[in-house]
Amino acid sequence: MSWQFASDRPIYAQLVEVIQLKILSGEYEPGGKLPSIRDLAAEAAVNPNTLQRAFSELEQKGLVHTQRTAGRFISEDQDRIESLRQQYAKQAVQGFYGRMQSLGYSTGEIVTLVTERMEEENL
Amino acid sequence: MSLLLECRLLTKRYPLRLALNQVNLQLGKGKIVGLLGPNGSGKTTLIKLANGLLTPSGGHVLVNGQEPGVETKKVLAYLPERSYLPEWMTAGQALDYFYDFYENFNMAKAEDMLARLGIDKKDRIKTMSKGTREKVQLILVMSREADLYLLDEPIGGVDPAARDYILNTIINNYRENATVVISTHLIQDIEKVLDEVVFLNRGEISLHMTVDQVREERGMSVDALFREVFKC
Amino acid sequence: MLGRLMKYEFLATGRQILPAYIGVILFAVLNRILIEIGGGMDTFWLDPRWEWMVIVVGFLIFFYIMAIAAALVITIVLIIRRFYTNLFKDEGYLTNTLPVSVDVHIWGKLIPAACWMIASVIVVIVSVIILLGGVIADYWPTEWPFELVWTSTATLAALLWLLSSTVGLLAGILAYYSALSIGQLAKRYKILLAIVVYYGINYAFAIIFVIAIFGVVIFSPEAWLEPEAFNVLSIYAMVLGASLLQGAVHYFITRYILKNKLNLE
Repeated sequence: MSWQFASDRPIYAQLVEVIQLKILSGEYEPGGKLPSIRDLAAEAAVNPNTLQRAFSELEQKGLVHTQRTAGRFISEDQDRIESLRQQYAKQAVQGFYGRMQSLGYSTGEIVTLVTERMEEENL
Repeated sequence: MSLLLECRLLTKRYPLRLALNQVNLQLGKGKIVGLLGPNGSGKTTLIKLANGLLTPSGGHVLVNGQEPGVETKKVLAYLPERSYLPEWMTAGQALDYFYDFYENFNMAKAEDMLARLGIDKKDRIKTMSKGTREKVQLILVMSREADLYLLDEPIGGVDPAARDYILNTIINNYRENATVVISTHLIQDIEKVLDEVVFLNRGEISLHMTVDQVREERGMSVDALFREVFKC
Repeated sequence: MLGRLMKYEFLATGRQILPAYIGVILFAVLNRILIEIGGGMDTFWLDPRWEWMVIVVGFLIFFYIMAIAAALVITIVLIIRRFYTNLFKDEGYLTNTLPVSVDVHIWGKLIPAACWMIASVIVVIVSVIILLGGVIADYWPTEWPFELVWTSTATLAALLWLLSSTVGLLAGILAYYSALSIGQLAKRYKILLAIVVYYGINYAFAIIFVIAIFGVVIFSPEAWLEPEAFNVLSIYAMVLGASLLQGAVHYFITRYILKNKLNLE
């Protein structure tokens, strides 16, 4: 099943986000091997060169590194991954908080809503 | 020669219309290029000229720096829009045919793809449905380890599942030294697979960019840009 | 490459021609059986019981002759159709993108076509032998009125005959090929143009040769007086020369069009 992409932004940038997410969430484990470009491009139904560009970006961000003949591996630097993850988490919370405030909710109301959601989840 | 396909002032004139008007185009290696345009814009004409099936009225078309001839045909794999296999042949015979004439034909790969698509080697082309024939033709072309692939409307009349399979095959077939040109008017399906796009409008090239460039500079998908450029 | 092309050529054309040939032979066999049942070649029409048999056999022989004609005509028609459809119609998209030179393409069709022409004649001869059988043995002269001496002239004549027949056969087929090639240059009425060109070029050559002969007569009448001018060898040589010339012209027309003027639909 091919991945879905927005139509107005470069695909390589979106690929970076998707793969990054998989790394930060742990779906791609630290130190683990990334699928080959060909396999991943086929799975995502994207151009291999585009994927290559995405991998290069990830490498620049330090999330991925290439070993000459062995292929591409996720960074083992768990601290870095964790800090990046927290960075994005904070941004997500910031964004959520901002949207809720623009709807007119106060902090107390927001916490209540979140708690209700948690309880629904536990059921 | 670093240019796989080059057109220099390529012109094709018919008694009643000008199919290609002094087209200039350069395609490098290792790219998947979309040749996009409405029906009658000259896409098929350009491809046939590169194959030597048409002779130019003016200008040149060069494959690996050479005019179309025996040498270019060795490294060029062509998938036409029409059914071109002799009806009396079986699928197996078609494979043997390609094996006999093309050195770079990968028989094992072809047999594997046939099996994967559930096509029996003993089936005759005559008895196959249109969709199956197209699949056989695609298998024959993609099993060749060519430098330049020219696919004319490969996903046009095919069901969505087959479409995915075709795109998947193209991606899996990708080699750094080869280039695939896909001519189509169904852009949405293939946009993600393309490196570059070439817009052909009434025999002239109106645009040649990478997909990323289009999205970054125009802020829209190639599909959206196409609709804008070719608005009726 | 040439060998492989010819292999597929035989495969594609044989599928259609062989059934026709087998039909002709079977027909001959059938006729022969009926005749033998009726009492053999010499007597079957005498026995009154078999009156109706005579009529039946009469019809069968009529159809048999049609079958022979059909075999010969089918061969030529198939050769022409094969050349046209495989190079200029949908199959042309496959054939013309093969990494094979135009020369090889032409010979790849020419040689199998010549083989089929020869085969059709052989089939006719075989079927006649089947039909007439013993009659031939009865009438075959046991003593020829002349001696068959293999002098050097005779050998040369035989060779020249063989050569000019072969070249003549090839040139004849090439005449069709060049006409078809020119015909498909037109936007419409391609077949019509091909027919016109075929006869047109043939007449043109005939006129040229007549003029050439008259030219020799007019400008060097003593040439005709030479004892060597009209013997078997010189005639065969002239025929060979004429065939060679025509064959070459047709070959180069076909080659030029296929190489430089190909415009598939």
